[in-house]
Amino acid sequence: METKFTEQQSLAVINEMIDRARNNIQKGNANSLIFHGYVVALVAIANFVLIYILPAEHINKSFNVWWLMIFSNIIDYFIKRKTDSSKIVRTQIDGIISYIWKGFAISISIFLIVLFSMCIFNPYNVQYNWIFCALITPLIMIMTAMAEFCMAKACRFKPFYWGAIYFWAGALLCVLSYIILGRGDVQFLILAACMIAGFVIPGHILNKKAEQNV
Amino acid sequence: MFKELDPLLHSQLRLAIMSLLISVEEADFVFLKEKTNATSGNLSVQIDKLNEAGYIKVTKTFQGKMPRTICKITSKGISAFEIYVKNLKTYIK
Repeated sequence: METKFTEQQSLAVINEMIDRARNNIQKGNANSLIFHGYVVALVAIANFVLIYILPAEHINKSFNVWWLMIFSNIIDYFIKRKTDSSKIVRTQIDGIISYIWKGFAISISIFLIVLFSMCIFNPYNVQYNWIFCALITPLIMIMTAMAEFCMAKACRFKPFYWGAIYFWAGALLCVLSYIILGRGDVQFLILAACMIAGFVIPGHILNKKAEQNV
Repeated sequence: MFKELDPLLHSQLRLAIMSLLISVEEADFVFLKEKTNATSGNLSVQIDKLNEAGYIKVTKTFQGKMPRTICKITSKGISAFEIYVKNLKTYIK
């Protein structure tokens, strides 16, 4: 049965529905973020531990633990595919967020290719490899902060702003730890802490909020 | 001078569906039902009317064994909605 209604009611319906669609957070939206948060934090801690476990001549091999990220990205792809297939709505914001993280992944990949190319080929034999290595974690954290900051604006979710701030602060702490303590290993602990504070905690808060919305 | 409001849109549930769809890229029947608080039968009838008018595009798929109805607003629907809102303003002023 159809109900005819006044112009004022009509306007109220439009406003209310647009508002309901806008404030739509779905359960499981942050699963991928939480997964990445835990994986990167664990891998960073593993890297830190390996530095002390491995014999001095093999310390550089501790970085190989980061190859695990390839497997984690494959698992993440399936998590995303499962979440997307069960989504009851797809907004323009979802598309924007997806593009932000795709852009982030491309930036990180190009950054690492450029950096390792410089280290490996090093045509003028300049001794700057150490500074490159010390800058990897802070630069990745700065890029992560920027992506999370954009995501916070797109989905208007405050904990993501805080997450971005933790990453920016973490990047500064990494550089400070290197300058003051002269140690690069502390960066991994800072990265792990930032992943928990910047990805895992806001992710759980978002999922909790989505559960309450249902 | 009052302009005539599109009778297809000047109905509470159809307008609610169009307002939701204009805010998202595409939406499942379940989402529309949740947000409009309409009954499945009524919602289904109104979706069919909007689909027949070419205001929305309805895609029926399966998620596992469960059927899914996905609705997406068309460019014709966007224009009709914009004209409706423009005409509505003349009544409100």
